[in-house]
Amino acid sequence: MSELLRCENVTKRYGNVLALDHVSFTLESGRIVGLLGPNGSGKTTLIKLINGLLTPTEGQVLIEGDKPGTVTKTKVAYLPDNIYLNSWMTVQQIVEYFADFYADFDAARAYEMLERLGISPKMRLKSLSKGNKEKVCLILVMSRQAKLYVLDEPIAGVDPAARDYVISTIINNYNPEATVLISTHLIADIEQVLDEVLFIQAGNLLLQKTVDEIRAENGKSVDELFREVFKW
Amino acid sequence: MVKKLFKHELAFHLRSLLLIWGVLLGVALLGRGIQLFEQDSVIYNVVSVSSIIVYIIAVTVCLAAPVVLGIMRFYKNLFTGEGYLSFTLPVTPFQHIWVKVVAVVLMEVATLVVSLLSLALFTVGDVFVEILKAAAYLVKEVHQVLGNHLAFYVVEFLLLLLLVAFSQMLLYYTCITVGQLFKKNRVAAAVGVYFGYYFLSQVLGTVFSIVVAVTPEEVWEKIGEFIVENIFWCVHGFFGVFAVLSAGMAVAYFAISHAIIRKRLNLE
Repeated sequence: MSELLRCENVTKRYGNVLALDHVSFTLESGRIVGLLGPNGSGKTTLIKLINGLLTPTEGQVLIEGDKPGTVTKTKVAYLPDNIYLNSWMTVQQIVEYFADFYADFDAARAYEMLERLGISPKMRLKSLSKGNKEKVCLILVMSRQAKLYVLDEPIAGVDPAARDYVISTIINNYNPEATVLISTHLIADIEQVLDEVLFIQAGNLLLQKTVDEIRAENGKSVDELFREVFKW
Repeated sequence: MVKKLFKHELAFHLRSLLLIWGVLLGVALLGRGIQLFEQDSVIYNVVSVSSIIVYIIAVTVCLAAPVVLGIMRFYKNLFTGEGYLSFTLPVTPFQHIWVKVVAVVLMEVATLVVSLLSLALFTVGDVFVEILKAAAYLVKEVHQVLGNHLAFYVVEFLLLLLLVAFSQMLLYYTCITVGQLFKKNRVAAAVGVYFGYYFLSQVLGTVFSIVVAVTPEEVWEKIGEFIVENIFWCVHGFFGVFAVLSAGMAVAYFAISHAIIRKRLNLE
């Protein structure tokens, strides 16, 4: 396994607010990694830095040795925590948009997943329910053969059945040689699929361990350890 | 990538503009239709004048539409939720800005053509023939005075218009981008930046006027004599200076927007 993502002393300030404080870690390829922390811990900030949507105040993010830019964007598939697609576009237009810009995008796979959900390509995004819009976003991201999938809160705010759908879509569609970084605070739902976890709190990286290490060293599940570490 | 970006940019603009162009052409046709029933009555006069007013409003809205759409597109596509997708495409900030400004200027040119077409529709018939005759007469008269300079003036004027269109749009983009440097109320900040810039340009204009006013009269006399002796070349010079100024400002605006997006992007 080779190094895929490296964060070196990454610090991000929003004015006087310190969102990330000298965060350093590396991720190797072929892993499913949980980026775990309570709300406001800095997960989304870190994800945006990886995607080049924010500029670090200090430090740097490297993806296969490159800073976020056009090269890394061909390798990273990003699912934001909000719906970011043009609501006036039809599902087909959005699929074509992704196919135009991402060489690793598999349109046939996207249409197949959409069909299974009963979403017609002719439908406009604004006519879809919030849940279906989120599913379309997930399908678009998971139809790429990316090297790094960065999913920001993919199971937050969805019902348990939809959670199962989201998790199975991720597991069944990601490139096995790639790494999946999933940010969430709903650990119990995804614990079974994680290889490794990052615990983040108040902008600080508290822990980076494999799930097996946690079970062996702490004798706890990730969810139990999370509750212990982030206890109020 | 630029081609693909351009394709989607044009699709966005045409989605709204085709409708607006259609409405303008419809209003022009309707106005011309009303004129066909010309009669000496109060009702006809009211309807006729109203159709002319509606047509003028439609032309104004049509001409402003590409600029307004361009500003909204730049802001929404780059600095709201849509920016999450735009800035995760394997496209550089340079390509984003370039494609957006070229698309808007192209739409402005197309809108101008549609507006002229609507004028032709609105005046089709005797009035249109008279307008063409007047235009032909004007060109002939001016050509007698200017000779071959006329063709160059027309080309230079059109080029200058294009440069001004680029420069003006890039100014709006710069204001929006600078507004993003603020922590809160970024749209209000962008408007503030625009008015701040406008105020500064007014101050510079006033300073220039003062310089002109305090320049000794004999200097102006010499300048005046020079212009009279070389009037044709001075007009070329006038176009040239403004073209260089517009191009310089366009490049500066582009560079500012590009630098901010490249180095200070913060989609919070």
